[in-house]
Amino acid sequence: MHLTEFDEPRLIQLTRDGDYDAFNRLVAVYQDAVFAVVLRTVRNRATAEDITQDTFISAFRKISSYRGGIFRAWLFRIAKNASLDHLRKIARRPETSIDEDIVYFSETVRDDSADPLADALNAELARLIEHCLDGLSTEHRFAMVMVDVEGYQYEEAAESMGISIGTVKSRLNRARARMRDCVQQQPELLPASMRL
Amino acid sequence: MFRRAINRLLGRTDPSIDAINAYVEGTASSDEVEFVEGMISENPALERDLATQGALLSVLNRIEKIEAPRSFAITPEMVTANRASVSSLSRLAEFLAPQRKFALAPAILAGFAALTVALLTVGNITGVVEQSGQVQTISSGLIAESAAAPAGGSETRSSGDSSGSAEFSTSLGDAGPPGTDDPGAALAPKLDPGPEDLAAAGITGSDGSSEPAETALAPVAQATQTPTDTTIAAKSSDLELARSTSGGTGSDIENPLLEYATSDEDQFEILAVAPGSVDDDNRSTIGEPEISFVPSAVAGTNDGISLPLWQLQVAFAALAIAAIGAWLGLRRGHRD
Repeated sequence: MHLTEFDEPRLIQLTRDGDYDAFNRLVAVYQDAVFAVVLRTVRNRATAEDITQDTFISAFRKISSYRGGIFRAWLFRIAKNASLDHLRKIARRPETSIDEDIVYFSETVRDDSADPLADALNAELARLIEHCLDGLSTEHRFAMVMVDVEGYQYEEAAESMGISIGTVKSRLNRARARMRDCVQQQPELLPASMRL
Repeated sequence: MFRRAINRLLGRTDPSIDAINAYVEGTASSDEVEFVEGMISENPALERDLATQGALLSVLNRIEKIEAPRSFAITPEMVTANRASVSSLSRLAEFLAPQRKFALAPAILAGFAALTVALLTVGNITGVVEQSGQVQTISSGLIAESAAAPAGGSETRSSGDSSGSAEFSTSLGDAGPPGTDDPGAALAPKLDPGPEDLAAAGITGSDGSSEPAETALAPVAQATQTPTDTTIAAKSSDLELARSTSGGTGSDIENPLLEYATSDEDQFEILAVAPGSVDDDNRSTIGEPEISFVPSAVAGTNDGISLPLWQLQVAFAALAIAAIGAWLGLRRGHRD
């Protein structure tokens, strides 16, 4: 069957019937979003690719357990659980050097100015933000990545994390406060509006 | 603190968090702005903190977006390989992984089982629960002896009529008449106690004769009577022997070790009131004194809850150990 338009409910129904092509159309739509969230959570490109692939395989196998709601949030939930499992495994194995695995997922903070100096500062700022994100707990980090970095709504973030909207808000509130404290430790990298 | 806990329990957000988040994101309503400005007026440092958070948020929003480096399309071979690599144990471990809702289920089960064992043990020690299915020995008890005067109002002492007196099988550790196989029958009180029997039961008058006054035997435990053979079962090891001598002289009552049982669990009441007769209600009468068995409930005393105690303790202990083992095993399996 050939679908010319992206009809998500129909594709999901076809996936339930075992249609790989239908599911891969869903994969094509959501793989960027899933990979971004996973990479920003585990901060290792190779691991993020593995987890993203496993996420889609698990989603195909568990498609019967999808009960409606935001399909992307359902995918995020699978990805989030896999990511947190991975981080816990790393934490239990101190012989694995986390530092070696770190990748900076974003080299720059977008800036419309053509000033090379500003570009360099933005790149440093992005690294600082990533460093501070890394200092957050995995749950706080995931909330911040979902809402503040990726720009998802509270409802979708809550569904992705399997928590209430109120919990998302309170996690976000704490995460922002900790991020603020962290980035202010290197005030020379901050825009004037962020300096004390 | 308490309000936060309640809010969390109800899935509600603290209004101040809602207002601050909206203020930082620039989506605050006029009420929320007013609320936050009120907070700022109380704490001027908050204004700079919120401004910093707002600026940080604008930077986060400008971080470069990420694209997938390749296609993550799946094939049937991938799914088959993935299915083969997932064992049932790892599936269960996955289900009970720390971030899942049921992660603590085995630990909670273990705690519940251990707590139950502890409660049963404490209950056994304090007497709240007791082992079921065992014949109780009445080591002490309440025998309420009422020395109420007979109808004439005068205290009557009688040596008793052996033909109509209640006879109790009372013994110190003696299960009953020799050669009796049925413990119920062996321990059944006879309804014809003679004076010597009352004396053996420790119910004696000051002159050594059987107590003429009305005597009530009140087992602490719920006791029973079989309507046909009047055998009695005591559920408790305790009977209290009490004596009420309204207007009469006291009797020398020793705490007898009474032992009696029955196969029936109906409540009983045996009143021995007049010599030589048993009325329709299975009340044997021996004249004066009147001796009555009163069920524990009537006597105002309670026995422990009868349970298969040691079986439950062993079962729950085994459950606790199994749950702890499962929990540790699953965590190890999940780790690997």
